[in-house]
Amino acid sequence: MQNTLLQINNVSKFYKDKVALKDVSIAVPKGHIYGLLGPNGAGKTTLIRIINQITEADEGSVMLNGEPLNQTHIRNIGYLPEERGLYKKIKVIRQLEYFAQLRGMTSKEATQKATEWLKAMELYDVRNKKIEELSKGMQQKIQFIVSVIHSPSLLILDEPFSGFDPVNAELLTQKILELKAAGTTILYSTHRMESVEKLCDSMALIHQAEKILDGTVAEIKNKFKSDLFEIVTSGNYAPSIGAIEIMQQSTTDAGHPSLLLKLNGVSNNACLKDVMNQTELIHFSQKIPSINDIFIQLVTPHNN
Amino acid sequence: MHNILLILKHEYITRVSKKSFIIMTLLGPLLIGAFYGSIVAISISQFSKDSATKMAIYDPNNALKNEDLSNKSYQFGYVKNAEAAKDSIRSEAIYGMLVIHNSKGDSMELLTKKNISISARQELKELVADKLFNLNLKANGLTKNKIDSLKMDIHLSDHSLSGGSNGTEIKSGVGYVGAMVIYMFIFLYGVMIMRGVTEEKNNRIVEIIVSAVKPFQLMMGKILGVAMVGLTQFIAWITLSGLLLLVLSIAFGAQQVDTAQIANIGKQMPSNAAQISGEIFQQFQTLNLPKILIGFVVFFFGGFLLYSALFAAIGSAVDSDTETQQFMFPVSMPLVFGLVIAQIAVINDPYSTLAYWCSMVPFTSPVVMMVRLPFDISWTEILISAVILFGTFVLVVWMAGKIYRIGILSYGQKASYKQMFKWLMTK
Repeated sequence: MQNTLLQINNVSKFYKDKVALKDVSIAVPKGHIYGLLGPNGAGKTTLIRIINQITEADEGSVMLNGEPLNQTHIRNIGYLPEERGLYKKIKVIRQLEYFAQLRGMTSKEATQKATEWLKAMELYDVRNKKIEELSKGMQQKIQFIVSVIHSPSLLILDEPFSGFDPVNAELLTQKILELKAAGTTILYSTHRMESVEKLCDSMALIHQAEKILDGTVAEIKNKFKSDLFEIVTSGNYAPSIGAIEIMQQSTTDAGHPSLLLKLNGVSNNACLKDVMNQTELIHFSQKIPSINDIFIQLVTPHNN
Repeated sequence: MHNILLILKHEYITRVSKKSFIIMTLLGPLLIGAFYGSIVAISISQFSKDSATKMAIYDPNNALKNEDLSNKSYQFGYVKNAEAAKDSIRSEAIYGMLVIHNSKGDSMELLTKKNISISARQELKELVADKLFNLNLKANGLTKNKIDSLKMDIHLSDHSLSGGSNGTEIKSGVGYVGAMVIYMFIFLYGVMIMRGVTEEKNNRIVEIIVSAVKPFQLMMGKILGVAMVGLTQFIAWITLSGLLLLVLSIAFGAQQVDTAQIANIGKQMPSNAAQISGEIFQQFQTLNLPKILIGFVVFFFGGFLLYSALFAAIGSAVDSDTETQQFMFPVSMPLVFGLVIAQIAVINDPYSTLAYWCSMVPFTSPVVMMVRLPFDISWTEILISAVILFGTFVLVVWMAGKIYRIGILSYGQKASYKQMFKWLMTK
């Protein structure tokens, strides 16, 4: 329990004609970047809204830091919604101060923190401009500041990278990692898998209102590694062990034959020996699935 | 409570510092002044028409005995040649001609180049009838002076048993102005709240805010904040109007020409100006000002809060301003109805049954009770009405809060009453 910041126990949420969440349990370890994955409409946003106390769960409980979720936790949670929103006609600095105060900061703290963050995000020069006068990227950065200005212990980011150019995306990644280093736990909801591998320590996959997978990223990848191996040889290789199947054949840029082998229970060493008996081995590696592969494998209808 | 105050402050400062608010606050009294000024100017110009309209009378049977009928508006001349007069009408040398057909004078014809207005027709008819009446009196041995001395000019001063003069005119006036102000502010600022809610919903700001505060707090903060904005504007208008009036009266009071002109108008009226202003002053003293002021504030706020909650609920249910129309109509109907009742029934008889009930029903009471306030309405009655109003407000706010809570987070659905009812019933 000590290591878990956010504990979601058997949470269900029903709407009139559909189930939004069904018996979902998740434990988010303190200090982790936790990926919340799932296709559109899987129930991620509903779960996030429950954690934010925008809606209530019909069944189950949510614990933050070992306590049942309540109003006092609002100060400890930061939220960047997928649908961005700021007051168009209000000055940047006033806007930040207002949102910070709603999260329980005093007016003085709010001003100070807003100034700090504006400087950190290279936006200090536009502090007295109205939101509508700023570029889309700048607005996104301000939206990010809104979610972190009150130094929350749990930061919920829903698709934080959408709408960012590569330069700003890099800046955002850095800030997220800095926050993590400072001890912030981050719940990162997305369907962009490549960023999960880059950022997340652990993750859960939600599909059709249910959690179908969770664990650390390394564990999950390990669990889903198949007995597929990639080999590159100098000459041609034809398996003499019957169980070994050739799944794919190609040629590398250097002109060497490249094969994707399925071992079907044959040990790595046995396979290697078989290769080496026939030709020279240049490369041998186990094919580790990307989170993207796992995701697609799990949520593609015919696999269910 | 802290959150409501924060939101209230935010709404207030944001709106009060807007350019449009400052401009409207400064221009408001000027516009209102210009509006009433132009009405006064038009009525003055009516009284002081430069030249009288020239009319001919063709009276072959001598029914009018060549008496002069001329007054301020019309100048009459008798003609012997009807055809020549018709030519003059065609050439617009004269405006028209009255042809008296018999010696009794009860059959006449009015010839003009263009069609004549109803009021002009009536005035001409009365002029001739008046003159004929006087001639008939004379023929029967009575003089006009004698008749005038027999006529009694009654000064009616009315008092109710509860004491003091009635001052009915000023009471109706004050009540009606108060009701108009309440009506106007409910609409202006109610719509402002509705727009604000829809804007937050459309900009998706609402998701960030309701993750920090409860939807109910957001709604209340917004309603109260805008109410304060309305009150600020109202107080500013009163103050500015007062100053403007002071400046104007000093500026115009010094001008001899205007005083002369006003005195001139006074002559046209049944009683002179001094008497009227004296009466107004007397009537003004009959007003129970503390009661009216307290009542105004109570019903201003009560009505405003009640309708604002409804407007907020509408704003939360729709996705855009254009969708609000269908909901605006039924919500604003009772208020419009109240104003109509105030105009036709309450001013005629503030104690009528209709007036009584409309000042109890919370959706019309802010307007109707305001009109009745200056009259002898007991404190008990006012209190009951106020309690009903605020009780309904609490109920409506609770219902609006339920709709609002779900409405602000529901996108893409076409808002309907059925939908809103469903939200209302959602736990």
